[in-house]
Amino acid sequence: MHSYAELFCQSNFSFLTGASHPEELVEQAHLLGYQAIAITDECSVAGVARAYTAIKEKSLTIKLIVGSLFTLSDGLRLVVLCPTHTAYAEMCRVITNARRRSPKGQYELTFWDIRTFKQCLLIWLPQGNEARDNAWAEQLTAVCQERLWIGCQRHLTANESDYLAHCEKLSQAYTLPVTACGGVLMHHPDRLPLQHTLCAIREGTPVASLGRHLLPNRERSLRSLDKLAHLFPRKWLDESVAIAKRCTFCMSELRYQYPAELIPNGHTPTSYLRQLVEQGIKTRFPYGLDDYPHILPTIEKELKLIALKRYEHFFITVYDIVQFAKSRHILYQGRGSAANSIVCYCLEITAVDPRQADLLFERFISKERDEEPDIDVDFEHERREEVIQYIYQKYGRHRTALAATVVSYRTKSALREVGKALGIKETQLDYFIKNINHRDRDLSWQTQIQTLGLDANATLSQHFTSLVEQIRGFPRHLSQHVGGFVIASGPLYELVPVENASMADRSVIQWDKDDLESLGLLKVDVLALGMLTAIRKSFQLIAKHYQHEWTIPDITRLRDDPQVYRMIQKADTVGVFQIESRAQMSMLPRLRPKSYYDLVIQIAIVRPGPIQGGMVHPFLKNREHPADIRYPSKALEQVLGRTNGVPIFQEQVIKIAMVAAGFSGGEADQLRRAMGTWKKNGQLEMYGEKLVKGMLANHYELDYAQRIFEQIKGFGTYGFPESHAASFAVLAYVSSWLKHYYPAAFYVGLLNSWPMGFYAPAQLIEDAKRHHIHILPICINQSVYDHTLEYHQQEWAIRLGFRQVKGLSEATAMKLCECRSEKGFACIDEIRKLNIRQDELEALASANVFKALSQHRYQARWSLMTATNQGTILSEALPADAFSPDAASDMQSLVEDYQSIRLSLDHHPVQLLREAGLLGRYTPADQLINIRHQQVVSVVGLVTGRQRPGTSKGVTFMTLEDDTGYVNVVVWLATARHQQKHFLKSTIVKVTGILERGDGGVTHVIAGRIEDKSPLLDKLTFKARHFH
Amino acid sequence: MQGLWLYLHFPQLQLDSLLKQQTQEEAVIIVETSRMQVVQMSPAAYESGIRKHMNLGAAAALCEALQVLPYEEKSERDTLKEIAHHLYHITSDISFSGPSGLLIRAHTMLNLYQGLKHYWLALQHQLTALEFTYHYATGHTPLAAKLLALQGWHHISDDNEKITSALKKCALRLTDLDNKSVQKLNRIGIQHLGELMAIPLPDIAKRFSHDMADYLGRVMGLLPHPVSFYHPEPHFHHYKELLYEITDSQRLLTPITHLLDALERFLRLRDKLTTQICFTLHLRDAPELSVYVGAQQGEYRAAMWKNLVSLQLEKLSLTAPVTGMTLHAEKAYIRQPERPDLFTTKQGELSRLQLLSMLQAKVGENAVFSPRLGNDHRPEKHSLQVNSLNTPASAVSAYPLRPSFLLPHPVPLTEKVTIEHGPERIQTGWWDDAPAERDYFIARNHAGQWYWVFRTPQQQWYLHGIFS
Repeated sequence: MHSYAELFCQSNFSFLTGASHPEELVEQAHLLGYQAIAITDECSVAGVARAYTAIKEKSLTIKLIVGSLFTLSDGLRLVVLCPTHTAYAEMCRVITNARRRSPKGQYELTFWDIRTFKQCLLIWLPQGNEARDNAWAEQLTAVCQERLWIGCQRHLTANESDYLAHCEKLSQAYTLPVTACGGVLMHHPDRLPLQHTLCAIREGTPVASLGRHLLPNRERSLRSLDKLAHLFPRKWLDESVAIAKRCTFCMSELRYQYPAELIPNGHTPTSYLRQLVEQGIKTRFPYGLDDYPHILPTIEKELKLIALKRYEHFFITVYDIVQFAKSRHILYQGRGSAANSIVCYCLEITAVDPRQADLLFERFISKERDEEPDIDVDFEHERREEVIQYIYQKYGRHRTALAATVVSYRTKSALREVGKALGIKETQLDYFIKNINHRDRDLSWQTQIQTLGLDANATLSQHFTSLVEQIRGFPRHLSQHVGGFVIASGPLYELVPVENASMADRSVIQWDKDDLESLGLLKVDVLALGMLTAIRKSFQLIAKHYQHEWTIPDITRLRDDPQVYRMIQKADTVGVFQIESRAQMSMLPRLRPKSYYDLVIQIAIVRPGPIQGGMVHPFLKNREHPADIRYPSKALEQVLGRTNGVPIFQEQVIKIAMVAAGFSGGEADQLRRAMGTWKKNGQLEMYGEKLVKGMLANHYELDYAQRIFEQIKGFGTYGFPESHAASFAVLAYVSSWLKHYYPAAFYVGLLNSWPMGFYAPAQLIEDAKRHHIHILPICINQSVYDHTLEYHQQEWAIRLGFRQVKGLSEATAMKLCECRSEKGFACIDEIRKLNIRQDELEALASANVFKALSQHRYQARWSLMTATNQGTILSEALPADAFSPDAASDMQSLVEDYQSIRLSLDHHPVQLLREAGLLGRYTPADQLINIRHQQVVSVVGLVTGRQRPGTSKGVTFMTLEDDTGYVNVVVWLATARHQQKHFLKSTIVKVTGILERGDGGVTHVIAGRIEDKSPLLDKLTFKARHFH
Repeated sequence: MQGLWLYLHFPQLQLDSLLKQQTQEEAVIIVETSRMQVVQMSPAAYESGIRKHMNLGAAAALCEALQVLPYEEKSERDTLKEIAHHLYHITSDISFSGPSGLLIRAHTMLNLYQGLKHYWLALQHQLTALEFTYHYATGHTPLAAKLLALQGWHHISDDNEKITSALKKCALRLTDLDNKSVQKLNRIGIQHLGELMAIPLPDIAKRFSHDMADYLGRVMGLLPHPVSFYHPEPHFHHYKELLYEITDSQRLLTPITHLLDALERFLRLRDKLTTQICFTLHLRDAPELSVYVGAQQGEYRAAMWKNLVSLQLEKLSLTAPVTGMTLHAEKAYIRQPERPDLFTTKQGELSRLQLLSMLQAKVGENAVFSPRLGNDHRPEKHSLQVNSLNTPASAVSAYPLRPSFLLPHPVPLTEKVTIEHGPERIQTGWWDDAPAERDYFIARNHAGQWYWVFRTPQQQWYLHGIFS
């Protein structure tokens, strides 16, 4: 029997070259009985991490060798293999150097780099040109005789015998051993069309025009041992196995050394962490813990577990980062499974008060599962960069980098690029792409594309659909993770190659979060959250105008406030974190949260996952009648008790798998990962079978087991871990609290943090008006850049700031404020002299900012239009204008308002249309209360939101706004399909349908007919003007 | 005297020409491809809610069976030229305005037609026959007429007051003013030309570039607006009535020679060449017969044309006696002296192009090819036959060893051979209808000939070529 080790094999992480996933390659090599396989992607170790994970998860016996392919600038090609850990570090360094000196996605290597390989094994791939190969052989043998091989490949091309003879000759001339190698690009010969397609995408030329640039045959796949024995001399095959034997390095050896400088002298990590926690207990529980006897034991338990798992460094690193943020008054909030601990509360990483939510703290890091602790920290979105710069400064750029995100082909990009490669016209592809509804779960994209006119029987179409299907999920390039930092004690490039990111001054490693997790490496997520900015700004306003100092823990420490919950129950939550979306708002009156934990559930349950899994109704039913809940077992009662017998959080699903289906900790962890990606690779089905079988074995009923699995599937990528929901609920509560007690400061905080959240400024201001807050217009003598609070008629009103003016820079706004005297500007000419850009002046004029100084905005703009045309010095001498424009009509003012500040304080389009008698009969939003359930009703409004949650039934929520309030419209898929044109394009619609009033007083209009009223706006504008 | 101008705006030339060919009411849209926006749409498409400037995606979502065509400015210009050609019979001074507008100087024609009404009737008659959608208007300046037509005024009048009042109502966005200026005017409440005209010119000059004052001046006729007019393309078109009927095609050559002489005079006068001429033979009691003769290299000399024509006539058999003939030369080019490479040795009497013309005239245009190397792994696609006019491409480098004699179709291998080299495996072409899957070998037969043979996956052997 022959044996062979494949030493030269590229996965699809050699982007647009390799045509198989690393997982497929190792599995196939294992199946073929190879001794070992090296994944040698071009200047990369991104693919090999995936291969490692696959071998680990599937317990394959094949040996994995880490390596990489390099092409030097002069054409020399080498496969570099890592026999030892040191060699691996050496290769990572070379890859890092080669990558760092080139723009993103490229690399540059010279012979000088090759000289620095002192440990790695080199397989040289001769080109077949005698003169050049001899020159290279001279160079290479001078550098490393004993770690150098000639790698000879056979792909059944023409004149191959000459090449073999050439290699033999080189071998003899330079006394170099020859090893067979495959140059593998595909795990299976069937991937050839895909490989051709990838090549075409890379070259930007259709497959049919590439001719001899394509691979001539399927030989660059993993081939059977028998076939290899035919192709290569025994000696060469044996040599490959001998090389593989020298490679003893395994990726599991990679260990992370945490930065040591965080631990003060005289401390061990454990003692230091304990000290920090003890300090924290004093700040967090100033009145002692006598009433909460369980807290100290829990802390002890947590510390013990942390010490056992040696996670101290991780917690201390996060602690250090949040301390920095705290010192700079940057608001932050930790979340993630490990954040769910009293230790984290004491380290001030989170504000989830354990006295308020003791239920949460039963689960921390699981001992039985080898899962890494996970802490994500959200920072104010406008100031996250400060935190990132702190990390870079503290640890240096060679010790820290961002994790990568693998950007993969999705249906859309796959359709476009495969289509182009097959020579399909771009206009047609555009048409396909724009018209495939990816959310339509009943019709696959393949079926849809046929109804769009792709001839299903044509060979080309068949290739098209099959190739698109194959390429989906293929990695396309590496990008940077939003905020996952990897920090090491020594140079990071000894652990993993680092390359340039597209963003200047950022570097990324070659692994993504899954790879890191699989290799047991930790990352710290430094994320950005707009709501934190908004809350901080609100706090500042409250301190300034009300002289009240608040912090997030101050508010949570006050415990549940019934008044705040009453507001939440009414769904009066525009602007509030998380529970402000249409879907959330429609559910609030039904779920009626009364306590912090109810909010946690509310946030987790109104997600596509649980909704899709059909958990909402059982939850409500069980809550009404807790006595009727039947738990199939005691064990499950423990898991599901706190959520009324319905699995709502991701953690519960995992737990069910363990207690009911007998999953081991490791298996449950794999299930968790499969849940995140099941749509991509369908791995979940495999676990489904195991889950159902396991549950049957434990005497659960088949029906129940299947239902649980359906619910798990429903979770998909959307399932919310309890720990995240818990942290989010804090922010949801704090923002609700602010909205209730300091509404004006709340709105200004939000508006000054925009863009963020669900609503545009116009909608937030509408909502503020409805809460009887007076809104003052932008004024040249009163406003500053940001929106502010102004005392007006005995209460705080909102003065709009210059930031709302479209086309005005912050710098100009600042300049205006600086140059403004105490008394303000007296006339427009003063502003003209400030040397402000013409377009900005005009933008200000149209925003009606000069109302105090000019008759009307048209006049102001007209007079400012001369400013730069003639130069500022001359403008004095210009003769006065003979012409002055007429004032704007109501409708024109409205149009100007929307054009220049995106909202109008004086008019609402619906109101103007109604006054012009253009709308016919309809019921205003504030009158809907008088309409009976199930009665036919017409409503009119500006479409302020169209939301299509990924629920199975294809409902779309539309929000209409008229001058009296909001109307929720529900459009069923069939109606949407039927009336697509009015649905898609309109800005103002009239909807006739049936009013439905659900439990808790939720009012919806179920759309029957949708009429587009947008053209009326034009009519109004034209009507407003008369001709003489 | 003030002038009077007529403007015709054709908003959907491309669509109209298309719909003429279609009997069924279909939803068709024309899309401008750089921004993917709808520029023209058929009534059926309009019915389904599609509007101008909608993007392709939205349009496609509105209508399932939508036919999408890219906008082609050139084809619109060509169509417009045709229209101008037709109108030229009625009115002389026509000027092109963009790809879809015609500007006509009307006042010079009024005497001829005894008034505007008759003149317009005549034009209208002609336009109706052409079946194109159009908007029209008259104005006292070219720009006034244009603006009114774009606005869809649809009045033919020389009443100054009426025109001016209509002009004032025109939306500024239809004018030739740049978008930015129009935007600026809109933002101070000025939407229509009338409002703009009401602003004193010095006020405008302070705020806008000279272009705006210039435009207004031209619209109002205060500034001259030079217009260049269309001249029909000069084609050679001669009819010759025969004194007696000819039945023998060979005898046609004599009268043809006269026509060719006239053509030579015509072309020589203009210093032009033509590459194609067309004889239309008018037959007694039978449909006329057209004979095209081409010269790859433009030609004007009657003698040369005569040679080519006589070759064509050899092939021609007449079904009815010829009563007359027309010679028409469509394309004419400025003559450029042929400048062959100084060092190229002359190969025979004829240049390459002359030889090609000769061959094409003799055996037919479709029978003359140039061989060329193809870029494909499949041997049968190694050599291509390309249209003779394409100059030979430089050879593709580094081809593997291939036999000089490749059989047009592989034949089953019937002799015993010894394999010398191989295999070379070719598995490709999945994307077209000729996928190949073969192992090629170089083999030798008893007689010592070097064969190029291949084996199929079904283990059948074929001979595909012989090495020289």
